[in-house]
Amino acid sequence: MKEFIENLKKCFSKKALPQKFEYCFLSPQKAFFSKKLKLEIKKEKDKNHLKLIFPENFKTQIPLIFCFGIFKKEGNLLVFPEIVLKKNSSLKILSFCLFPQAKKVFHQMKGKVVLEKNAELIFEEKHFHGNFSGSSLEVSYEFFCQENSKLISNFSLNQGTSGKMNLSYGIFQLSNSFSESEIKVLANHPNDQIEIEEKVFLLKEKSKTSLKLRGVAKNKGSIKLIGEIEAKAAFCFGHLDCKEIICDPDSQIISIPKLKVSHPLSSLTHEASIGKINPDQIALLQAKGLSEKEAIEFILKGFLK
Amino acid sequence: MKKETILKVENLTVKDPETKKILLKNINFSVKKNSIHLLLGKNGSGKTTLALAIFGLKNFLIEGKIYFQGKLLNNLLPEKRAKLGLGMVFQNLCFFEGITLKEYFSIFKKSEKEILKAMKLVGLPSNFLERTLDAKLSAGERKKIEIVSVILQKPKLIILDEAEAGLDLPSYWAFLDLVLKIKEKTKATIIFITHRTSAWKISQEATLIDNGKIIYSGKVKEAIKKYFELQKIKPTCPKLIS
Repeated sequence: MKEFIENLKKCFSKKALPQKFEYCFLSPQKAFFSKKLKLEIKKEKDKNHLKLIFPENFKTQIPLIFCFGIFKKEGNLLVFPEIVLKKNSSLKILSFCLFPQAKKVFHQMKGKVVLEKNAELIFEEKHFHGNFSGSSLEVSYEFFCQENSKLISNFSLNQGTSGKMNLSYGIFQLSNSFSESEIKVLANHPNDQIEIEEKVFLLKEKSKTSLKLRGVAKNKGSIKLIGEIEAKAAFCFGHLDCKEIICDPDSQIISIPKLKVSHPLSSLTHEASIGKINPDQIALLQAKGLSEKEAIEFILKGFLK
Repeated sequence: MKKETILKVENLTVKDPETKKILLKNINFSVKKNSIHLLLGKNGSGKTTLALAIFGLKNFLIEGKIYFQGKLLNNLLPEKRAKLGLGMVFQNLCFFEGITLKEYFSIFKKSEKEILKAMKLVGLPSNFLERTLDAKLSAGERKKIEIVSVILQKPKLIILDEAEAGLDLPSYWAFLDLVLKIKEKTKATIIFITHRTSAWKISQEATLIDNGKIIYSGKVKEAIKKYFELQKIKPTCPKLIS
């Protein structure tokens, strides 16, 4: 955890990161929000509504950083973000979700993201839930990608424990839009139960998508991954890539890839595998001086990175 | 054990850990220090199994003794054998999703300068350090990466297990040059596992293995002669064995 906080501090100025916070919303540069940018933060009881509207042609290399978290053992955090990127705008969002001491924490995130024509968004969400497997999460996002827009989305929970987590992504794409999504999760405790459902709808012609789902289940953890692509128009292309590693006999992984094509001029492909770590990989690393345990850690670290 | 011997294998019998099938039977051979030792044999003869058994990999059931620099290896874990000075370039090279070359080479705790120097030796550009070890790499590139790692590991004995497999003829000759460069760079003894006899040019001694048994161990020319006899083919280079 210390290392994680240190890394986080590098992202923010020291003053910006409060020692104790229940919920915060941060950006490292005050100048980030120009007059043209509309930002609304509304709190209704324990619900936090965020509304961000990026104007036409808004472009920046500076990432917008969200940081949500509960540092106490118990608590609720409900966040409902709505983000709109107007025509030709371009942005990167980094979202950190921290529940380092969670023993009885409930977090709900229900987001809606709209990418208007030619807009581009890189959306990265990183989670850290501590070692007690005591959080319960419901995270759902809907992305609406209009003509020629581009979405790159990464979600990772690759250390500590997950607790109970339901993650649901829906991506709706119009003509010539492109999406690339990667979800990487680790179930690392008997109470870790992860359920992920990601659906992409290629609604109009020439829309393309690439989905990558990665999961590692160990120490009796369980993961259910559902990846789905539906192509409804001509010249759509999609690829679904699901790979999972199961590390012990008491863990469980269910992987369900689904493809649905409703137009003869579109094509969808998929590759899927669940299994143990390739013993040849372990042998190769042992020959370089790593123990079997170190070799496994090395392989999993890369797999979930 | 003689002073100049780096590896000695005595009465080695290797069995499959699950089926108990005998894979290698009563293997006896030794490798002289600072030599390039050719380990010849056709596909499936047991060359790779012997290499893996020397390294203690794959949990084979072992009878007999393996000495490295006079030290009995039998009860040592593979990583301990690596730390003693064994190194290997595998025949089957696997990929590591998400691991960059920089992270891969960090296993050896060497400076970036040393890493770049080794990469230059095998002809890998420096911008490869940020590449990931995934299936987008060609077989040749992947092999070069393994050769860099073995240079960085600086072992005293390197087993090259058909490291030249899949190379076209010009690349193969370039590879033989590279083996000599590796030897010069690491000062290591090399066991060169192959079924291509042209590797005789750079070898000082050879062992021929067939069907899990040693047929001959000693002079290179004699080993190649027996290899041709075994396969009932005429050598393409008659002067070699005359």
